[in-house]
Amino acid sequence: MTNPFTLRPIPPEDEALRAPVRAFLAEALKGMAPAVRARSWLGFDAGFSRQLAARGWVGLTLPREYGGGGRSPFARFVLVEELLAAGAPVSAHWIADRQSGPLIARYGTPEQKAFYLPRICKAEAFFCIGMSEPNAGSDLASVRTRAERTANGWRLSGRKIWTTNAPHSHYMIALVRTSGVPEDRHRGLSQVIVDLSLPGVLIAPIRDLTGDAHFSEVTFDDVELPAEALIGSEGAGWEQVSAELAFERSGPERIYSSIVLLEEWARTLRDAARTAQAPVGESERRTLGALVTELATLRAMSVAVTGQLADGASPATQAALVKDLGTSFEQSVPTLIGDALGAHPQQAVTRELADTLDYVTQIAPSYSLRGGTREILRGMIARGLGLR
Amino acid sequence: MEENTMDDMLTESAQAVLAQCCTPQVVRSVEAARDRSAGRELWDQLDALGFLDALVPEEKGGSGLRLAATTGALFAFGSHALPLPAAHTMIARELLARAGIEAPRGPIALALANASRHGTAFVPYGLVAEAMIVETTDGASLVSLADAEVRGHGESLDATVTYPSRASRSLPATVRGVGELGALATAATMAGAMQRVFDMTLAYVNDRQQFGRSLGKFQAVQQQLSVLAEHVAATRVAAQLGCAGHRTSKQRVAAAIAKARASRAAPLVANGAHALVGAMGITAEFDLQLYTRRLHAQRFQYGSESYWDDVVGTHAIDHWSNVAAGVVGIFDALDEAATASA
Repeated sequence: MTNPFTLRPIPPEDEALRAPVRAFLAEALKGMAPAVRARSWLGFDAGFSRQLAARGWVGLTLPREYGGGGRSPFARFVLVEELLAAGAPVSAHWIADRQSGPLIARYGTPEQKAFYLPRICKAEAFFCIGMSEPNAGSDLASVRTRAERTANGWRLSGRKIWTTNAPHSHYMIALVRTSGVPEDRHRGLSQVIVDLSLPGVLIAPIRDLTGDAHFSEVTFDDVELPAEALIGSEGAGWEQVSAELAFERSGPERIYSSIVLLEEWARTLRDAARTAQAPVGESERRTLGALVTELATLRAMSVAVTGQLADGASPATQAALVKDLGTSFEQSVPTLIGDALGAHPQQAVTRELADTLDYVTQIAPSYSLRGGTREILRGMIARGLGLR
Repeated sequence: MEENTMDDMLTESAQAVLAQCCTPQVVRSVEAARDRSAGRELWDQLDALGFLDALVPEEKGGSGLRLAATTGALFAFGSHALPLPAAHTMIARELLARAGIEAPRGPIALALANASRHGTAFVPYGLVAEAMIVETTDGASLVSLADAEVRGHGESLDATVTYPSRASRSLPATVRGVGELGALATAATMAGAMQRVFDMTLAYVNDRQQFGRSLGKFQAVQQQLSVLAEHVAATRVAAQLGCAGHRTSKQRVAAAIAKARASRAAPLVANGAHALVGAMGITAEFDLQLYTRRLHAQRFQYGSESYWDDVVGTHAIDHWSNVAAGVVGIFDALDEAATASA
């Protein structure tokens, strides 16, 4: 790895964003149950996203000329960290803000930028990601969904799956084959922006093991797309999607997925310590300390990666490393808290804590699947180390 | 000068002198000598370059730096298995200078004990130190090791020291924080050692051929190395955070995080490296053991992960109303430091 992790302070002008965001969230999330907040970036609330947009907090890093904030990656880090730490329901604008907007800003034509970016910044255009397919998961290059050239544009056919927020989204940026056959692998892939209201798009939600239906299967049955649906260059889909995944993996959402549960448990420990009814045992203090230690370390790593982004570098290997370690931490939270609570079976657990623990425990396996499995990420790290 | 710039300069200087004067042969000879005067030539060079007075206030003849400006140098001490308590002495000289007490010029160890004036203490680098600062709940003392009974531990440079009250001198109450500062110095040198262990392992798997290709081409090996890389990077960054906390209001909790993380990683990295380097790594001749033996020992020094986890957890329960905000607050140390040095 050429670039070792180096911690540095967040610039004061970006850190200054924290106080107003915290104040806003304290008001906006008042009374929302922890088990609901624990859904965080899977929690969909279009009204909430528009409230953020009204404050200029959607598209913070997008260019000012297109309605964005023109701010640095550090500013977005502060904003996103506060949103996640509070368990704000950010899912509606999440994908657009994190990756679709930056992708369009980087590869889009002036017309595409002028059309999509202001809508993204107003939280009027929500996006979903069209990468995985029924037969293409970790092996993303084997996608079979095709866009064939027509007189007026493209004809899209195929299927995407595990698409978060598809029924609520206006657009999907899909990785599709525009030439050749699946055996051509990385060659002949392109990205298209699909208007999900077009005829021939069928969205079938899939219920997950927690009872939510945040992801879907999306079928394209000869969907006619205009020529300007192509984003970036024809045939450059693989490079573009790799850049997009670097945005997806580098943010603080890979360390805060279980934070609402951790906060809820820590609150019960504080309450117990304060009322002195049941003194907090050494084992609980150690478990909390170990979790805090790991969270602080991961935050330092995430700040270091943000610094590299701010310098204009593309820290894909470092981002993969933080994501793998971060999801291990996120998954350890429900495991360790479950054990700590179960160590005192005679002691009742609050409904809020029990519900949150249930939800996080059940959804936690997804943390190391979404955005690239452990095996894929470790392969990327190995590549960064020069082993492959 | 900014701490980062200073850090880069000192790192380069430390790496240059250690590459030349702290070779594996030198490390082996100091370890074999088991003598208080071993390695003095190397010591004098570090002293002449100003490392040992780096933290001493400028008005007392030092450079007045914080550990944040010497983090890279501490990494270099670890990555060269420096067999002398240089980081500890830097801290000791600062503590003594601030208390207005002249420091002995040889290596000074740091230790924790139950009784300050006389007693028995486990002392990292006790075999090669001239003196130690020992801290207890009722204060700290400066102990001359020439007047104490020093018993070595196995092959290491650590010792159990029994000291009579005539060998110890009470230090003013301003000398405190020895445990957390010793832990922090240890965490930073461990981070450097882990990086070296990782680099040696990576070089080995690239070199070693089995089944017709290098070990590094096997996916199982790649995945293990990736996990090691994660722990090495995490330890490095946690140590940076710890050093940033030096002499700020966050010093204790930041040091606790650095040491807990380093201690948790130590057996994973050391054992993971040995698993990949195979029987060769177990030999005395192969340099890997110079680092891994010390990593295991350093894991317990000044408190293992359980000790510091408890400190962090207790702090979070007693002082924070929110975990995420508390964690973000630790990073204020970086700003406090920036303000202080401006």
